[in-house]
Amino acid sequence: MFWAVFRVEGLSLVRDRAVWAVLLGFALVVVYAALSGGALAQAERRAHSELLTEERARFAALQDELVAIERGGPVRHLTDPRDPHIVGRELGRRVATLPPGPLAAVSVGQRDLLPTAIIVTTEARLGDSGADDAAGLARRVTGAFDLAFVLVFLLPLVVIALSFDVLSAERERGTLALVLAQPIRLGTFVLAKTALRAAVLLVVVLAAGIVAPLVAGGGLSGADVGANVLGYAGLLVGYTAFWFCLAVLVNAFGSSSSGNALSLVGVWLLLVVVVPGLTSVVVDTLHPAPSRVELVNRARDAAREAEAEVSELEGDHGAAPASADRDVARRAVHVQGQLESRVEPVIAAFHAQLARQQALVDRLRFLSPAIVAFEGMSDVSGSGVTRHQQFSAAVSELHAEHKRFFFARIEQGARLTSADYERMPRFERREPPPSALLWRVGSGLLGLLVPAGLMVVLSLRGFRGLLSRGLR
Amino acid sequence: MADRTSQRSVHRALILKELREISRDGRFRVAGAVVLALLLATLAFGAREQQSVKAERAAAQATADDHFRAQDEKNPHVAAHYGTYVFKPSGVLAFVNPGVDAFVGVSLKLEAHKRNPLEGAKARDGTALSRFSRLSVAQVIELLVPLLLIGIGFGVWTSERERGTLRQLASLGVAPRALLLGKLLGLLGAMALLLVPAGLLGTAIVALLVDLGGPGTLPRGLALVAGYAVYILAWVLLTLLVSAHASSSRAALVTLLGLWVVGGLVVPRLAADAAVAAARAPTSARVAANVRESLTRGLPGGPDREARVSELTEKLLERHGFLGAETLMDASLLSGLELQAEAAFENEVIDHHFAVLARALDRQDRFLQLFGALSPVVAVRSLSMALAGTDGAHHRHFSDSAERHRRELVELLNTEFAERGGALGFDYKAGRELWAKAPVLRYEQPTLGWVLGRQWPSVALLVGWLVLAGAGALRAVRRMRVV
Repeated sequence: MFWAVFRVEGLSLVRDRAVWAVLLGFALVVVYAALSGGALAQAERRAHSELLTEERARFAALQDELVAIERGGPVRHLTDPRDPHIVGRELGRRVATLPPGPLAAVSVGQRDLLPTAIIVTTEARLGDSGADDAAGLARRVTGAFDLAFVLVFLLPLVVIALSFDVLSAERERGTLALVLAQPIRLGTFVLAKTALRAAVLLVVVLAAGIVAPLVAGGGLSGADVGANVLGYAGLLVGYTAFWFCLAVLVNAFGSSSSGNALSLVGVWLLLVVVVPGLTSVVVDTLHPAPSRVELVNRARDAAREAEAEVSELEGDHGAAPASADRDVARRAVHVQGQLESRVEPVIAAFHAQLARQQALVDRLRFLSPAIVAFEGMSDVSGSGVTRHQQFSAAVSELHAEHKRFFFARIEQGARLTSADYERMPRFERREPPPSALLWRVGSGLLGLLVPAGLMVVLSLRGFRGLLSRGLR
Repeated sequence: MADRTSQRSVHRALILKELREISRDGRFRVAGAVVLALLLATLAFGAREQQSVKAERAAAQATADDHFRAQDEKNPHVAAHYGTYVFKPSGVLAFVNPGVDAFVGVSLKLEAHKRNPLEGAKARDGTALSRFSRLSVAQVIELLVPLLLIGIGFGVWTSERERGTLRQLASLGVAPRALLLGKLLGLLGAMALLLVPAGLLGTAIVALLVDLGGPGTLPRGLALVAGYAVYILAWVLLTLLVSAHASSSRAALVTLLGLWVVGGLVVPRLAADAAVAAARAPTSARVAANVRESLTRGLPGGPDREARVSELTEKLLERHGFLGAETLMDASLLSGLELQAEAAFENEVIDHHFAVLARALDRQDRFLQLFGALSPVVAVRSLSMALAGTDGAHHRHFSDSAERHRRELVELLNTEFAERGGALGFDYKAGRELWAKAPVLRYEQPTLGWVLGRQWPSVALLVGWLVLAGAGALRAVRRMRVV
């Protein structure tokens, strides 16, 4: 009987122009969002590869010059490739990049705010300037038109449009009594109707929502595409199921079609807009980010003398290159060490607080399926806070190694050799294993499917009550 | 005369009936209470946030000024390298609409030779969730209030028709205009129940907690209230229009919700996306690279650095009457004038490249405003951010005045070096009496006229929405089926 309803309903759905319009419109929006997100990811890749090419060329030139000098060529003091102070601080700067993930087109996340390419030198790392420029400000403020937005905000509304009257319309048209005169249970009838709608929508969502970003983002070469795509598909199915189950529940207890639509939109508003908004307020209140404004002055205050010394070194225009005098280089290293030791605890406080915020979000996400879906999409697309923090930690390691390497040679008063160039620390990116991703997304998925299951059980009870009241 | 009195009593009866019906509607009570609570909560939260931001930045500015004044004796130009920090003060009305504030930097290092970017955007220190859904007073008014309006108003005509009461009214000979006025004032009354308390609280917050700021606050505040009034009135009329036009309550609801989703969620993001993509602006990194490049090679099409700096030095020497007599000058005077010439060249380069950026961003802004034709939300949002002083243009306005301030400071230090240094050159050192003379940045927001000069497309489009919705509602009511 389930399949009979499924088939009949399918026929009437196929003839419904409004359904086609909604599905087609939604598919177009999904494709547009994927293209828009993909364009951003591609631009990012281009910027990264420019930086990395520049780095390779720069190092090749330095090594060439070094060989030339070793063979008795002329030495230019300001760009001496043997000078550890100059190379560590400027000429031998390293580029660390966090490439967009395979599904980067799905969610921009914090990628448009946090730097994905960081230049490492021996200088103190007081906070990486980077992505926060004026050119994309309008988009950052409003939020990007990416798939995460389309799927989290708009997909539930499409579900509601397709199913707010899945039962009430039959009652209002008076066809329900006819149907129930057949040997079919009310629950089976409604579930079959809903399952059909869900199946049709999922075909569109999975086809357009997975293929489009993979093609547009151009990141298929990544090693763990499989885990990402699997997690993403799971999220899409789970999130869609949640909203269909909610629609069934509202129909089971609901009244008129208009009443159902209003209730569903109300719940949508609550779960997608209000609860996430309040959650972020709670997170900000419990773990407020330290103040950047205060950081500026604290750093300035703590390292005032140090900075004054540094500016003394720089402001003295006519003087010879700083490293002509080894003592000057040593003093600069010392001054910087002071500055860093005082500022580092403050910077660490920022990272720790952000990690605490994210941990709290990870727990509170179960308050709303929208948060679960949004966080999950950030994770599968590799634009979540966690991946950025791991990147930042890896950059810190490189920074420490880079400093160790050059400072040791400055202290010894040594010159860099060709062999040193081979040993210079490079950036090594470590991606978390796919199992970590699957665990995070999987636990989130439970946060979608458990409530969905509960709603089905409640709906079945609601149907029984509806029948006992004689469908009124 | 009697006719007019009876008309007036009909009006009164209609309005009272609407208000009574709405206030008895359980849905309105619950949803209205939720929206009112959110409105008050966002007001209180925004005001608290703003107060702490204001106190923090004022304290930070005082500390930074102290740091500069408490410097040891040093060469004035070395002091210009040491530099100072300025912190962006927040506008008085930012608590209504935080706008771009979380996404732009707040502190700026002023030093010789460089126009630094503003650093420390707050959004970078939060999770992605805080961007996913940010509730503010503006968000509640722009999105939730219209949704509430739709919830109570979608059946305003259709349900009367479905119940058969519309026919009765028509048979009494009540003019459609009077009916429309009754419904309109009824819905507006319901909105007033929510918005007047919130508005009073907002005014109280401005008056009590936040000091009134400059003379510009009052006109901006009034314009903001007027803008939102026009916006809400437009939504009321739009709701009446759709309800009168629709064949059933269900159809009216679905249409209105569709309009809300497209107008409130889809179009704003699409507009921002399209504006950023269509009116490309150079990134900050690009601008910085261009400035660096021009600083070594000279501006595109112009003389190179050395030629231009010596040209400027000659002008300065001529002004001081030393042209051709450089050998007779004190070392400091020559160095000081050369530094001034160098700074003048740097300023030319910076001005050139930032003007390119500003033009691109203005284009982007105008392009974005045009999308107000597709959705009143875009128009009111752009206007509201501008009036609250939290749009990109205000940010640039601050950044520009900070740059002017930087130049004043550097000019002061270099002039001092040139005029007082004597034969000592870079060995000359100045003390605290010079640091105390450093100018203090007193930032004033631009006037209302400046805001409206940039926002006229949004204002025009918003009024356009109002007029169209009004005319459409009247037409639809005149042609409405009563059975």
